[in-house]
Amino acid sequence: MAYRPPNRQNSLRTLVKPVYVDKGGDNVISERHDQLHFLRIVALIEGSTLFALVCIGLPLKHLLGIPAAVSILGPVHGLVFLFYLWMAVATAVGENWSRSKIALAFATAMLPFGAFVNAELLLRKRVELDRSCST
Amino acid sequence: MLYLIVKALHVVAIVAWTGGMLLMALLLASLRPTHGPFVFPQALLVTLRRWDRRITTPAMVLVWVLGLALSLRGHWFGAAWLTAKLLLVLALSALHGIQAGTLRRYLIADGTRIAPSAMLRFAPVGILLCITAIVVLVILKPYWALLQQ
Repeated sequence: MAYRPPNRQNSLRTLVKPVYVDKGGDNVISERHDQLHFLRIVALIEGSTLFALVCIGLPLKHLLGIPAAVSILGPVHGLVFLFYLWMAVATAVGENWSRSKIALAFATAMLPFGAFVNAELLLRKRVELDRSCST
Repeated sequence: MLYLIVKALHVVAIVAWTGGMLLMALLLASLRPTHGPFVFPQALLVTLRRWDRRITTPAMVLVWVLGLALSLRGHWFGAAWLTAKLLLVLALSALHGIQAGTLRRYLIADGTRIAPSAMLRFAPVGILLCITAIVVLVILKPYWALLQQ
């Protein structure tokens, strides 16, 4: 069965589950598609935990004197950040990314809201991959 | 008791992670470019990739999570030996990322010879040296032990 690219690229369904059809017929494409998809999901989670830490945890700690949110969100964000960097390294080596692409993937993870920009870039990469496979 | 259970699970996760990394390091070292005919062990690479996704990578995440829990519960953060150990764990994690990516590149290339990172040649020895240094740091706790005397 031939590979079919997704036709609804910006829907919620693409965020939750990749919509390519054939899992068995074209494993290489599935593998590359999956990797970009999961990296995007991890980037979004990383961005969300950083957002929660900066916009909820820090004001609670420094304005209201409640350090509990930072002591929970801090380690969680640290672990997700580490996992994102690990996935970015694995994807960059696997896809043979240029140094500028690797630097962008790392830099966006360190800036608040940068992860959401990165998620959009990863979505574009995935769509490009789909288009190159469909032509 | 909870601390000891978490510690035991941490050690099991380390064994699974470093064992998987050593396995991958040896296979990738054997695939490095030479002048002879290139034999592509696809079935072995697919099995190893599956093992990496299901066992080695989750074990690495478990090592991070349980290590963090142990450090917080034992109030170890700030100790010099732990800082040094964390740097070595980060180096091992980065190496694992490079290994997983290289394995994917081989599978994507589908039988075509590629030129992976030259450092992968020394990965098996590097992993063993890192593990040795980590074990020495954890067991002997240099500087920390001296401060306690």
